[in-house]
Amino acid sequence: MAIGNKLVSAVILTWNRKDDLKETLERLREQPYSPIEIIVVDNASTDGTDGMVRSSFPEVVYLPQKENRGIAGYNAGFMAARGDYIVALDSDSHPEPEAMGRMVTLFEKNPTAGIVAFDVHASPGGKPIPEGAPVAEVAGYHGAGVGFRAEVFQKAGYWYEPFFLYFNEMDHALRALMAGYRIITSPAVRAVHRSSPVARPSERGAYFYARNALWVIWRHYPAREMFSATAQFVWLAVSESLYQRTGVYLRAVRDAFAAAPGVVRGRNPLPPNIFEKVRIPLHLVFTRFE
Amino acid sequence: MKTLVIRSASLERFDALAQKLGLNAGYTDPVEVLTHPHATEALRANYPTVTVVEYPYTGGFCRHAVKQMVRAGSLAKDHSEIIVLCGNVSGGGHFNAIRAAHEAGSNVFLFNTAGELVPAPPAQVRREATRRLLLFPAAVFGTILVLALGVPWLAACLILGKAVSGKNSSEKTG
Repeated sequence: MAIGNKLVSAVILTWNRKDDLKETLERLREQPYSPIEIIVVDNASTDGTDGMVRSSFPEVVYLPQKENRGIAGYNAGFMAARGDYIVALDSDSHPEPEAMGRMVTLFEKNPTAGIVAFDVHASPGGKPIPEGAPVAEVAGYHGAGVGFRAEVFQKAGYWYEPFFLYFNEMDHALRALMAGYRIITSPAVRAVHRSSPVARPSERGAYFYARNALWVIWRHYPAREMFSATAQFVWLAVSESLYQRTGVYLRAVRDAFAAAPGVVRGRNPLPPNIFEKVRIPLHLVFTRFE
Repeated sequence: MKTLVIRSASLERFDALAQKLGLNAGYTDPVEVLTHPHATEALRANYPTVTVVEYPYTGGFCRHAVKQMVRAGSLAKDHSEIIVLCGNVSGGGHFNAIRAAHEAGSNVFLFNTAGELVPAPPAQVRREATRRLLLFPAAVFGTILVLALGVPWLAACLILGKAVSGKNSSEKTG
């Protein structure tokens, strides 16, 4: 263990992806940075994940959940983390070698940065990027590779659990920006998001993606922009439902409206200087259905 | 062979295509990537052999904009194949990008999440455009219906929510 290094907690959420998770944990062992605390939150897997983690990775803090709680599982991991910095990973993503150490360096050099968004790629390797690569400021991050200062969760809150899946990152990024933190990224801090062969049902993904996009608009857009984006969203949802011959987008819109009283209760519109940086490409929301 | 890639899905999808083509592993034919400005730097940093062409508009790829780029000479029309990146298997939701691709050439393929290159010939695109035209009135009617119910409901939620939070805060401070 390197004396004096700050503790980094890596939080991984998994659900029935034993082999993917095993690879992620093996890759984390290859990280030269130390100390790293690894927390696996298991959303009630039934594929033997429990035995694999306990027998092959005894150093891991294993948090089994009673049911699949979606992204609420991540929050359980974030709350249990003891690190000065917390890294969120998917069960099918891992940081490239050196990424953890470089992330810590970025945090130390940028005291107002609350979040380091990893440069997430689908495949490892590529052109080697030196540690001093330019740092850019962004307005969002990818949940398959992101580092937080632990204090960000105290000041900006945890991931919004009603989302269950998708758009939690954008929602949280906006709250972090409103809390005064910067979000930075560098191509030198890379993560690999391997394509998991365990495909999830596409309709489920399309549903959460569409419903939650609308919720993000309602939670964070200024009033005028909120109504115009809602109208545009509904147009896309109705027309794409007809074009793609699916009812999933209409169900998502119906359920989004049904839950509107609770969603707008947590509404916190963005000030103009932050809103101008935000970009939700609405048309991409409707590219999730197979 | 000169390839144009329309980056109409995430950079991760571009990574997957790059891996399939071997872009960073000795692929020598010219490749151009049409992308929105926010992705240009990342593409240039990670794929130094590709030519990045900036799509200077916001919103999804639009055939009129691409036609304009071809006319203005900022985008060539001599590509032997055009690949549209998709975030799903069927290409659903990417029709605008597919139509835009046809403005830059006729040999169009979709690169889907199954890792397949699926042809999207002009006749198929014309059929889909006709189908969408026929469905357009139903889409307009459906949108008006949903908005007629949804917008007043959303407005009521906002007003009532504010009233409740105002009451709570006055109770706390009172």
